[in-house]
Amino acid sequence: MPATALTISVRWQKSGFLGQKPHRCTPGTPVSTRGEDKERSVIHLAYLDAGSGSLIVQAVVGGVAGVAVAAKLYWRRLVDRFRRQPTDQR
Amino acid sequence: MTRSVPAMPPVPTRVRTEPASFRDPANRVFHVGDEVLRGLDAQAAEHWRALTASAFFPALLAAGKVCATEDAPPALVPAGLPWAAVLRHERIPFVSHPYEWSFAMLRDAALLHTEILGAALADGFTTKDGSAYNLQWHGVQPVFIDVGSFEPERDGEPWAGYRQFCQTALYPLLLTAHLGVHFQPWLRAQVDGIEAEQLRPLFGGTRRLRPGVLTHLHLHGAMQHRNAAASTTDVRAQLRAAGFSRELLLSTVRGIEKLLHRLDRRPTGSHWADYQRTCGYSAQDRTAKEQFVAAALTAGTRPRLVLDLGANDGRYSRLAAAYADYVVAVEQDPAVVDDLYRALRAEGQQRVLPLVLDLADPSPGGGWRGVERAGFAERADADAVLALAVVHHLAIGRNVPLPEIVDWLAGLTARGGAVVVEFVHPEDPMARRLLANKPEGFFSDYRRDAFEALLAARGRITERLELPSGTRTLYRAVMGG
Ligand SMILES: C[S@@+](CC[C@H](N)C(=O)[O-])C[C@H]1O[C@@H](n2cnc3c(N)ncnc32)[C@H](O)[C@@H]1O
Repeated sequence: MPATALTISVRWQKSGFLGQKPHRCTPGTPVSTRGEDKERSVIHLAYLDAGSGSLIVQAVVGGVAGVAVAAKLYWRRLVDRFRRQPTDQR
Repeated sequence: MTRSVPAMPPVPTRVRTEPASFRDPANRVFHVGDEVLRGLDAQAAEHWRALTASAFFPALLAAGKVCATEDAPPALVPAGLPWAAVLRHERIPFVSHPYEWSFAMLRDAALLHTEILGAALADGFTTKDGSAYNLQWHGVQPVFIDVGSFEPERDGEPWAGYRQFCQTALYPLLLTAHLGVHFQPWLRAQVDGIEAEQLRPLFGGTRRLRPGVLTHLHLHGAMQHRNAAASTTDVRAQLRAAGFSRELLLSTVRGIEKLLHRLDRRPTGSHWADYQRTCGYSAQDRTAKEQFVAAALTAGTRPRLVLDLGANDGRYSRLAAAYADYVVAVEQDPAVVDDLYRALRAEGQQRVLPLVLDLADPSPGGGWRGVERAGFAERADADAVLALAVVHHLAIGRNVPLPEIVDWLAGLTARGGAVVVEFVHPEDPMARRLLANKPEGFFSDYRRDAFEALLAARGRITERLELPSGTRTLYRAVMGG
C-alpha cells in the first residue's frame, strides 16, 4: 500500500492540513475543493447542521482512542474507493 | 378555563414572538405580557418530559445553572397556539450578547456550556447546538437559557453543536488569549461567529503550537474543507461504524474544558485600568459624590434596573446595587470590564452585570432583519441612569453635542425615572486635558449653565450639588415628568 500512503500525504498537504496553507477566503464565497472537481460553499453551513468535518475532528480531539476511530474511518473510505475503482491511477 | 370570543374589534393578539428564536423550528420563544413562554412541537414536548424525569436536569435547575423553567400554567397560554406544550421561563433581568462580554465572561459562559453538556451526556442527553448565545447572565452568574436545545443522545454520535461552539466561543477566546486581540468586534460583526478560515491565517508559524490551535482550529478547518461534500448523515454512520462512542465524546468534552481552563489571559495595557488611583478626586469630593448618588437612588420608588454608564471599576454600580434590583455596568474598556467581572465574582455580588460597550457606538441590532440580536437602545429602559464623570468624554472626547447627550440620557430612562449625572466643568483639570487636544473655541457651548438648561428642558431637576473641589456638579433629574 505505499501508493495509498503517498496519496494521503499529498492530499492533506494540499488542503492545508495543520495550517500549512490555510485557505484565504471571505465567508460566503464558494471555495473550490480541489481534486474532486466540485465547487462547493463550505462556509455558512446551516444552523443545526453539525458540519461533516466538525463531526470527524471531534474524534481526533478526544485523544488516542479518538485518533484510532478517525484513522479507521479514513481507512474504510480508502478501501471503499479502491473497491469501486480498482484501476485508479490518478 | 372558558374563553369567550370577543366582539369586534378582536382583542389584539397578546402574543409577541421573540425575534431571536426562529432557527430551530421544533420550539419557539414568545412573550405574553411580561411572561416569557416557549412553545414546543410534539417531539420537543416529548423531549421536555424526558428531561424533567432525568437526574441531571432538575439538578442544574436547582443550582441555577439553567434558567428556571416549568410547564406554563394554562391560564397564561393564549388559545389557538399551534404548540403541543408550552413552557414558562423566568425572565432574564437584562439580555446581553457575547460581544458585550469580557474575556473571562465568555470563558465562564463557555465552561458552563461544556459542564451542562457533560452532565447531559452522562445522563443520555445532548444539546442540539453549541452557541454562546445559549447563555445569559444573572449578575456575574452565567445561565443556560436554551431549554429547547436538549434532546436524547444517540450513542456513537459526536456533538452537533461543536462547530457552533468553536465559532461563537472557542475561536473568540483563542483570538484574545493567544494574540491579545479583543474578540468583541469580531463577534459583533458576524451573528454566526468567527469562521475557522478567518482565523487560520493569523495562526501561522509557531502560533500553531499554542493550546487548542492545531486541532480545534487548523485541523478542524482543514477537515471542513475535505469533508464539505460528505453529508452529515453519511459521516455519522461512518463514525459509528468506526467505533465512535459516548465515552469518546465525553473525553472530547473534557478536553475542551481543560483547554478553556488553560486559556486564561488578563487583558492588559488599558489606560483606564488604574482610574481610581489617578482620577484626582479628593476624599471630600468622593464622599460627597457617594452620598449624593445614594440619596438620588433612594429618593423615589426603588429602581428595578439601573444603568451605570462609564462604570469603570464599578464603585457606583456596587453602591447602586444596594438600592436597586439590578445594575448594568456599561464600560467601553474590555480590560476594565474583565477586572470588574472578576472582582464582582470574588465578592459574591449578585446584582451587577458588567458589559463591554462603547456608548458612542453601542451594539446595533444584528442578525436577521437586524432584530435577531436586539440593539442596546432597544434593551435599555432603566428606572435610573447614572452618568458620572462620563458626559465630558462623550461631549469633548467624541464631539457629541450636549443637546444630543441629554436627549440620549432621557431616551435610556423610563418615564418618571431618574438621571443622576455629573457635569465636569470646562475648568476641571480632566476636562482641560481633553480640551487641550481640540481646536480652540470648538466647545464654547460646553458650559454648566447650558447643560443645566438642557437637562431642565427634558426633565425636572430635583437635586443639585457642586462638589467641594468646585469644578464638578451633580444633578438628579426626573425625566419626562
Ligand atoms: C472618569 S471615569 C468615571 C468612572 C465612574 N463613573 C466614576 O464616576 O467614578 C470615565 C469612564 O467612562 C468610560 N468611558 C469613556 N467614554 C466611554 C464610552 N464612549 N463608552 C463607554 N464608556 C466610556 C471610561 O473608560 C472610564 O472608565
